[in-house]
Amino acid sequence: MFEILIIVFLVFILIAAVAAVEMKDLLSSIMALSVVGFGLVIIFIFLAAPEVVSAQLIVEMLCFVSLVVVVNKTSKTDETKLYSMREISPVSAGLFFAIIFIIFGLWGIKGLPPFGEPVMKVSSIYIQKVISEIGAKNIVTAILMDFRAFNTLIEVILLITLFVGVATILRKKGRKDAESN
Amino acid sequence: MGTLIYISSFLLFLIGLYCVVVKNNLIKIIIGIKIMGYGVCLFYIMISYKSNAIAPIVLKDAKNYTDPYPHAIIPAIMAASFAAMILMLATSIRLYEKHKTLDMSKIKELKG
Repeated sequence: MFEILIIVFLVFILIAAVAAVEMKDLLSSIMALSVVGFGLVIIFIFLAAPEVVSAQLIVEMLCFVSLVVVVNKTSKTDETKLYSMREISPVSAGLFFAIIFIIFGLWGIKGLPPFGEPVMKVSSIYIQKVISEIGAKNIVTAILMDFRAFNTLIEVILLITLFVGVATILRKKGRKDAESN
Repeated sequence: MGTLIYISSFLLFLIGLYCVVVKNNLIKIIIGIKIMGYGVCLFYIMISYKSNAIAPIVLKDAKNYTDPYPHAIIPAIMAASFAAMILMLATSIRLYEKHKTLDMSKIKELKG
């Protein structure tokens, strides 16, 4: 019953993703993209992942707002055509790699643990240590801030680099223009 | 039934891959990359689910928790895909100012 419910939501998400890819109007395409994102939030709640739910909600909001701002500044409809015959080679190469991905994916699914029974070799040690030594209530926060603290530090550095990069790209005036003014 | 659930996350990734390869509009390509990121996140959460278990928050008489390790990795994936998306959006604003179009087949200055 539970798995059927999840599959219904997954089919809904897949339909929204196809709509996001195929719509001509870019604003409605972005709407369909955030339908995918918020549908994922519902699935994460069902699969018992509260930390990921909060992170996904924040990231989804920011993505939606920035995409709408960019589409408002640029063109609102997708007037492009598909590739012509002359440019068929990148498309065929891409489809070739997609087929390879499908084959290896179907091969790799056999080696996965069955749904609902994860392999918890590392995580069981983490859970024991959190309960006995660290004493945090939220295990994910303990992993993020204690066991994998350097990973989190690098993530913050990545966000700072992002802001520097965006400021560099979107800066209106170069230094010479500022001096001449 | 479980295999169907795994396959649907693969399908989500493939829809994004199709969008990146075939579409010609820059915004559409960015949307495709976002969908690929969603597929990866969904797959990580799926392999962390444990049936008849609670979310990884310590309670007194609970012994079954879902796997907390992928939950700690997912925010890194999200931050990376978000950063890539914002940088691509900034670049596409600059390209639109210069070429007055978002069509990849008409922006050919860098073509080798």
